[in-house]
Parts: sequence; structure tokens; C-alpha cells
Amino acid sequence: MTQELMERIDAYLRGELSPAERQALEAELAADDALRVTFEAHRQLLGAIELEGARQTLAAVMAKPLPQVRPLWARATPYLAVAAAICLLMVWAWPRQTPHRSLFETHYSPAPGLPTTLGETDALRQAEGMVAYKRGDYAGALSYWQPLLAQETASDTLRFFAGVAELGQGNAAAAADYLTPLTQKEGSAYQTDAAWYLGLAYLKLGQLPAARTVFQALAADDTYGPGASSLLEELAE
Amino acid sequence: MQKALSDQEIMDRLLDPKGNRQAFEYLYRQVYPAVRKQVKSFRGNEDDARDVFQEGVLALWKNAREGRYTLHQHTKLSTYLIEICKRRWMDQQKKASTRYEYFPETLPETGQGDDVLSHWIEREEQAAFQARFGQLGARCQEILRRFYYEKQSMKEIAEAFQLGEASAKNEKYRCMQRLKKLFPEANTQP
Repeated sequence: MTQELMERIDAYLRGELSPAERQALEAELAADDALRVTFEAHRQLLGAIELEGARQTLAAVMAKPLPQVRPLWARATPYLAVAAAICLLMVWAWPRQTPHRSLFETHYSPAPGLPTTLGETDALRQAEGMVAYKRGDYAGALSYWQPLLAQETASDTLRFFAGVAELGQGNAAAAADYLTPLTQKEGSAYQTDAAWYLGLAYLKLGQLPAARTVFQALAADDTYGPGASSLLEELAE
Repeated sequence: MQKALSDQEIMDRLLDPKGNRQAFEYLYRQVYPAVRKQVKSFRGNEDDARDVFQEGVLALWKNAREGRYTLHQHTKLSTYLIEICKRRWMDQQKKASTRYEYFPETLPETGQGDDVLSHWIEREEQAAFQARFGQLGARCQEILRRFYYEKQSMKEIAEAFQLGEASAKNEKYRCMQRLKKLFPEANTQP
């Protein structure tokens, strides 16, 4: 095969001939058996070269080890990281959305319990409840105190600690129920203490105007004044 | 992470020499593990799986280019490739051992019968060509591969080899003449 013929056949097979050149070659092929055999042999050889090229390409691809399929936990790690980031963001954002709750956590601490050497009627029950209260077992304390609280004669002391215990276990509304009467009871030894915890209960409930009113009333108090003022400033922010 | 390719995108890349590598990489990553699993479940090993996968991909490549394999809406290309590789392996096992229990299975419906199976590239045939092609020398192999497989123009090849275009054409011709001498059966006149 001459170089010229090979280049013509190559151009034909690559679709690079003009229509006239294409028709001319096809006419020659139709008229010349020997040329047709040469053409077919050349085409088969080119097909083999192409296949060899594809084989080499595929072999090069398969020479690289397949990436290891990572276990599920490893594949899930990016998603877990995103989930963790969202959780952290929520934790970070939560106090900003509900600042009063954060303020409550900052300022709430239960009132110190009383000595348990009371010698009154029902003293044992009250004392056992106070032991539980001082352990931080507010539910236990309340269960001891419930029968006493049901009595009209329940002491301010008991009502106050019941209110703080309710607040301690997160029941701000129940706490307000116990504390509110005490804040309105002139002369009660627990009036101011009850007001402080009532203010905190309002804070926890998100009743900010009521909380502000209570803390404003406490601002001049020697014991609770500094805390109340601080809370009012933070609420203003 | 490798972008997922649709069957049409895989076909497009199989038909375009410049896209072949990407198609092969995709099939190797996505389909080979399943083929390996099938071959191993029928008493094959890793080398068997690689051989049959390579044959399957090349058969698919060749048949797609020659129009004997076209996409079918009900059968994914990957499913078809896995099945033909599995059947190829089972056929080879059947020939290798009469003790092997052979379960003829129906190929997924492609609307093309099992055309691809009837146009497998025989490994021995391909190995024979590979051996002779390898005798050409690296430079000739590279010129012929670029022109006939990658479909580069003579101008591009000339630039790659820092030759004039006429010189590149002459060299390509000489390489083809040398290759034909290695295949006496292909030596025909004129």
C-alpha cells in the first residue's frame, strides 16, 4: 500500500474526505476487488490498534487500587460532624433566644434549708422533708410536705420551702402559687425571700414584665438588691 | 467524590476517545466491585474477576462504538455489564470443568439479544496483537495510538513529537508498514 492510498483510506475512515473525494474512493472500491481486500485488511488492523489503545487505557485505570470502601461510621462522620455542629449551634443560640432562662440558671440557687431539730407538731414529717430538700431531693421533700401544705395552718416557712422546691425541680408555675401569697403577706419573715424566688419563677416562665416588677421592688433590699439590679440590667439588654 | 454519571453520559464517553478514560474509571469504581463479588461467588479469584471485567468493558466499548450495543430504557448499563461478565465467567468455568454445575440464566432484557456476548474479544487474539504491537517500539506505538485510537490530527502529533507535519506523516506510514510486516496475513497488495 502506498503512503498516498493509506492516507486516503485513513481520511475516509475518519470522515475527513469531501463528498466528491468520498464518492471517488467508494467507486474505486466497488470496481477493484484487490483494493477492497486491502481496504478491509487495513480497517481491521486499525480496529486492532484502537482496541489496543482502549485496553492500555483500561489497564492503566485498573492498575490503581480501588479506593477502600469506608465503614458506615466513617462515611457518616461528616454528617455526624454537621449534626454535632448544629447541636452546638443550638446550645449556643438557645440562651440568646430565651435569655430569661439563662438568667434564671445564673441566678437561681435554692434557699438553704432549715435546721431539722424542730419540736413542733408534724415536726418529724417537716424535718424529714427538709433533709430531703437539703439533699436536693425536691420531689421527695414535697412528698413529705404535701399533707402539711394541705392544711390551712401550714406555716409560711413550709410554703416558702415548698415554693423553692417546686422551682428547684422546674415547676415555676407551682412555685409561683406557693410564693405569691407570701410576697403579699406583710410582716412575713419570708416576704422578701419569697419575692426573690417569685421573680426567678417569672423569669423561668418567660413572664418578663412581672419579673421586672418584682426585681424593681427588690432593688433597694440589702440582701437581694444587688442581684435584682444586675438582673434588671441584663433584662434591659 | 466522583460525580455520578448517567448511562447516557457513560455511553457518550465510551464513544468519545477523549472520554474513554473517564468512562473506564467510572465503571471500574462503580461496577467492578459487583463483578468481583459475582466471580468470587462462583469460585473465581481476584485475577479472574479482573480478567473478566476487562474483557467485559472492552466488549462493551467495542460494541457500543460499532452500534451493536445501545442503551435500553429498562436495563441499566451497569446491570448489563455485571450480567455479561458473570455469564462470561460461568461460560469459561463450564468449558474448564465438566464438573462445574452450570446454571444458564437469562440476560437482562436489552432489546438486543446477547449480541455483546457473541462479539467478545478473545483474550488470546488480543494478547497476540498486543505482543506484536509491542515489537514496534515505544515511539511508533505512541504515534499510531494517538492517530488511530485518540483520533489526534497529524498536526497535533507533529507538535507533540516536535516534527514537521510531513515528517510526522512519513513516520506514521513507516510505522504502519513495520506493523503490517508483523502480520503477514494482513499484507496485501497494492
